[in-house]
Amino acid sequence: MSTWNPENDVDLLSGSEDEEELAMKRDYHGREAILFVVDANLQAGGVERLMEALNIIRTAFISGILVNDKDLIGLIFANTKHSPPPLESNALDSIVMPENCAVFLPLRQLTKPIVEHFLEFMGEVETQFADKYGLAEPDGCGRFDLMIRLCIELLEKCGKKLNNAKIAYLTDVSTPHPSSSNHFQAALQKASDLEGKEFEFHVIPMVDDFDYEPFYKEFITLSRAIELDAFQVPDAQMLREILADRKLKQDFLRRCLGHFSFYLGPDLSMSVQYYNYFQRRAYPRKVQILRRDNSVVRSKRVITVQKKDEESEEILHEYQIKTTGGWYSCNVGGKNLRISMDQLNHVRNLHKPRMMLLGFKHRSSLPDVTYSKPSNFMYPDDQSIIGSKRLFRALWERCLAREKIAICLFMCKRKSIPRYVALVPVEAPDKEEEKGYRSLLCGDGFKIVYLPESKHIRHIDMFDWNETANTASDEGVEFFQKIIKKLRVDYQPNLINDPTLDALQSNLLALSLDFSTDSKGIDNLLDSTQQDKRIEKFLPIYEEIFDAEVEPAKKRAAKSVTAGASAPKMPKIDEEQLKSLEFVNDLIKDKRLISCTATQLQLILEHHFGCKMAKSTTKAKMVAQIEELSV
Amino acid sequence: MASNKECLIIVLDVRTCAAEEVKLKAAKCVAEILKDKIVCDKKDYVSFVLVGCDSNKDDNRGKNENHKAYPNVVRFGDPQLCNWKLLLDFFAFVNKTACEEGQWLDGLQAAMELQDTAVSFKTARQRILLLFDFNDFPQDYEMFNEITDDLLNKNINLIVGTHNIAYIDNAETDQPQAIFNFSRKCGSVALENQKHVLSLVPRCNATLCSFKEALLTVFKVTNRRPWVWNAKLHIGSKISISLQGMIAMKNQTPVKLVKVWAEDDETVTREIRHFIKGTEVTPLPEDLMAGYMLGGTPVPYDDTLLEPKEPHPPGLHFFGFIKRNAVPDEYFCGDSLYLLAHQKGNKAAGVKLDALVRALLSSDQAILCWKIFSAKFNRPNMVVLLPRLADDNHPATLYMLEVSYTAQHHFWDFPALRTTKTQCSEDQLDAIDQLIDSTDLECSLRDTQQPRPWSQNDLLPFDGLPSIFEQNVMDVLERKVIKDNDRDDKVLKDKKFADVFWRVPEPLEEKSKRAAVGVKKLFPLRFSRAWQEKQLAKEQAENGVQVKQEPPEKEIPLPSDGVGLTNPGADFTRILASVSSITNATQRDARFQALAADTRVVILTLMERKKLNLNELGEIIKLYRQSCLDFNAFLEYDKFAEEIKKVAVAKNHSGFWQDVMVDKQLGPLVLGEPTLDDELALKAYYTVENWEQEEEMEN
Repeated sequence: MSTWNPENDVDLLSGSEDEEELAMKRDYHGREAILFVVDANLQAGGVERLMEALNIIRTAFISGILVNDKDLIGLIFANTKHSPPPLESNALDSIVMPENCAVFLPLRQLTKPIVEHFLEFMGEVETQFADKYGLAEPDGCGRFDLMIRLCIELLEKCGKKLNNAKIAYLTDVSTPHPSSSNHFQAALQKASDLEGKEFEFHVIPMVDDFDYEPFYKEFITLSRAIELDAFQVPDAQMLREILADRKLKQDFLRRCLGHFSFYLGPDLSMSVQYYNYFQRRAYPRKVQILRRDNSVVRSKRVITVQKKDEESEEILHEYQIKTTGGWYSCNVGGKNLRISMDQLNHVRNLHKPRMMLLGFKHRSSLPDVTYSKPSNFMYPDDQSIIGSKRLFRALWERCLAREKIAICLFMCKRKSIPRYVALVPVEAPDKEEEKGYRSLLCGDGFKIVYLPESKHIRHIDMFDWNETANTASDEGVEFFQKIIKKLRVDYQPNLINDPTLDALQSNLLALSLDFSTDSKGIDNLLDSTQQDKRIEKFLPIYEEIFDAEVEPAKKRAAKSVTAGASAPKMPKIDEEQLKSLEFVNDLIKDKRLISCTATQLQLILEHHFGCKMAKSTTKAKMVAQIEELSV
Repeated sequence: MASNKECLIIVLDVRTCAAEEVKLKAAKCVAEILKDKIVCDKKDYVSFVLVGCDSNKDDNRGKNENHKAYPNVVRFGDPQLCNWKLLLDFFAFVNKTACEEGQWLDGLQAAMELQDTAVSFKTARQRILLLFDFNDFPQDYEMFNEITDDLLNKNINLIVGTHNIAYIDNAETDQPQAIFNFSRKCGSVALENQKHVLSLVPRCNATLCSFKEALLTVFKVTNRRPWVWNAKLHIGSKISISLQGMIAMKNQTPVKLVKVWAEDDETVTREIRHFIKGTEVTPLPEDLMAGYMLGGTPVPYDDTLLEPKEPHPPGLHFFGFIKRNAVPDEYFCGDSLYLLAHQKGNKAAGVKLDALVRALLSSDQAILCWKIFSAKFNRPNMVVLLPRLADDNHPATLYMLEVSYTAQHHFWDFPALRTTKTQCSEDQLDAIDQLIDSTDLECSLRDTQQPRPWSQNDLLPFDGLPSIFEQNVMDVLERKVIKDNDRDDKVLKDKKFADVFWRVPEPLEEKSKRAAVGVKKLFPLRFSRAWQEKQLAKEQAENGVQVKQEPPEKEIPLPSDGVGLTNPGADFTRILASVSSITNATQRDARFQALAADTRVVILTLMERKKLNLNELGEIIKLYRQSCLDFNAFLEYDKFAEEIKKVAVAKNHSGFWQDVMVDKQLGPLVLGEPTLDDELALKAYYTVENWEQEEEMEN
């Protein structure tokens, strides 16, 4: 009746300690929201700049709809002359609408109709935006503080609990008001409101030479409660690019994986937080749909334990258990000892979440290639222990200068596993020099490198591979050097996408919104004609230098029976034979069950004994079961 | 399929003349080995041989009744698979009646005979672990050469563990080498014994090591026939190299426990139930179809409706050569590190890979390619291949690591760390340097040529990090098995299981502690009350009604939220209030003890200052004294009062003594009405006679 795979049951011993998963779960306490604000001033120099901004939002809408189905997205225009209501005008009933602002979309979970509405609107912008929205008179300056107030109100009254709310302001004007004006001061004051409510504010400059000095530097540092001299001027073009990916440079305070104390000694600790460099692969959420009316069907696994009276078949008791239920058993001389899940949980709780310094090593001692799990990033947090930041900086600066790494034991949160880590000091790259992806990687802080436990390292004796005959001639090396020269590429992470995801997304878009994307597909990626063409002229030498590969002979030559080979495999059994109980009894009698395949054994169990065992059950167990049942 | 099971025979010294330390450590060592094999469900065969029993009759001799008997040597029986029963049996076995006599070579011979019986198990490895005290009792070495040759011929690996081992670096190979600790007490017989043991290393490739290293050596097994992933690396359509990928590192737990869902006489059924908006429905399978959420809109998406595609060809498909360090290691993902070698026995592939690896290294490049694991696991993954040059032990190989995609990447906006607010003084940076130097895991050792008790020149070598969770599981299970107890949860509260791991390596412990104190003095740190309250409020909001059931530990600030130097009185009052609010008496007392200890340190530290803040000191001592009354901690306070006096006298703080201790009457506590004795004692306490003299001397 069901396709149950016991292997999917939650197992305390293996997968459940995924820290990131835990962190993600916490996020379900609220949704993520992003409110786009487009400055109407963008139309001042022609509609192209405005279209560019709307295009960024379009890609953000589409990538958002494809990946995070629960997120809320909104769009308003600032500094407009008119304030036309949104499509669902009653959405603004409880909102005080200031002048020179227009709500296009209050915060909503994106749906197909919303995206269609936006696409339709984009088609009309060139001809109608100036009339319908216009630009605030006389100087294109609407009140910035009122606009922020509107944003806050929209976010607060969106009807959903928010976990992470961001305002992205797309503009090309470096200050909303002249610095001497009262409005300027009022605008700055709004920054503390944002800070108190934990709303992030991002300005996305639509011009490359954007000046943060007059207003936004101060506004942003105030809204994040960081020092003025800690502000780093971002690269405008890059901001636009990553926003189109529906990402923003994330605020360090809000999106960490967790806080913990870092002990440098028995009685000396500072508070820090840690982050991941990338998230798990986000695929569109797969669901089951009722064919009739497209409603979403949720499925839930239920495990029921029953006890039946042997004679009357009457159910004596019945109860449901969770996937985390049950217990572990260990056999001690015929007696089974039980270890409850609780007790095993206790084992995890033996350790307190924290990090502890064990010592320092030179940076060069860390092996060139070592890997256990993806690294994290660590940054101080002055919230819990005041003064941590300075201590952190001192440690970081000295480690950098002296090329030291700190070796620590790290338990990131309750019920996880303590791990040995190396803290490698890293520094934000110089923004002027480094414009590539590395500038996006991280800032000043420690990289947490997880060290493999000794049992995770496999010791392979390569004796059977290692022969002097393997050594290639100098021509061979030269040949590959030429090939390398011809086939060099620059690594640009933003050009490499997950082909499976790409294909799925373009199919989904084609199915629902009826537009095609320029996804190339994996077959294209695997196509090697280009490569062939580039190295064409070297290929003749290839065959001269290197011998043709000869597959080594398979080791398992059949032994003759006289040489003591195992009994020949029995003739193939077909399903019909297995359905005969007589045949099966013969197998049992002759102890030949073990030569059946696992699938065949499953079939015997199900067909003759009405018993279904977990797919992962070993053959030996199934044989024992059959033998037992057949008596 | 390649099988990697082993047969391990452990020879133990139980002679009465052997050092207790050796016997205890040996038994512990065996228990650790067995536990590991049990919990990780290894299919290895193990047996034991005791040397130094007062009989030579085996308990439960296996099929081989015709084993030769050796004097004072007892065998456990035929090698068998490990289980908890075996561990319990071993504990009984090792306590056999012992005598003074016993030859370790006899033990070895008995072990080799057991290995002979184990040949039928077709193990990949045969090893003997000899745990012995090579002390001042004579041994017969007549058979020495014969036995060691035999070991070598039979390809049996010998590991010798004993207690008085030290390590030095071999001048030629630069590798650590085991030697016996030099001791004056060592007699000529002992030296003779040691000489023979040392010669085991060149004679039959034995490993000589300390107990700790012996355990590591037993666990560290090299594998000659690992599981391999066969694949071809394609560059263009013409160049291809046959490769074999094997796992070099993988983050996985080997612990295997049997999961049980129900009692034997119960049946377990599993099913999937369906719900629409919380209401259970029972749709027919044909009513359901697959789909994806597009924002809030479900979109039907039937894979089968789309054209079924040919699976992608498995293997490694070249994408491009990139700079060796172009892919930042921060972007590596996946759960394992693979090593790619050429296909075994395929010489042409070996030569090509060698050429490719050398070319990559000389031009500082790496390879980016698509990995398609197999026709079944067909999803392409971007991987980076990093070259590794051939050496004596391995051919040219490539490391393979998975790379995350740009859509997954986070872009953080971290403020710069170097700001005026975090500016540090020279003293502060010096203190940090001091911490780094006194907790150096490598350098302090490298400078000396002295023998050291551990093998590597590193107190925490990267290839020897323990698996803490596994160790905890093993220890807890062992404890439960020995106590034969299902429910006893006390075992789990034992802090020892955890605490061993949370400490700086012992040789550095004191130094690092001192350095940390130095850092603490210079960096003002304090807990933020506001933050704690916020966290608490958040937790309460999230837990809703359950707030009351919150475990008591959570709401009480940890003892490390201690009394600070800047405002000790306020800190103390605050923490004391929270301590008093604990309902559990034992816990309350424990917390108070911790707080008291903290406070005493603070008071003494404040007294260290050149200029004393008398008000502050008076306040905190008074508060502490009062709390000792409330918590019935008389003795403690009295002891402390004496300590204060000692410090005050030593530092010549006469002003402090008069203004604070005497005027405020902060001496030892008195219960009820003071008796005459009490009065006299107090008077003696408050009187300090030799202030003036010292002051005069100073003047």
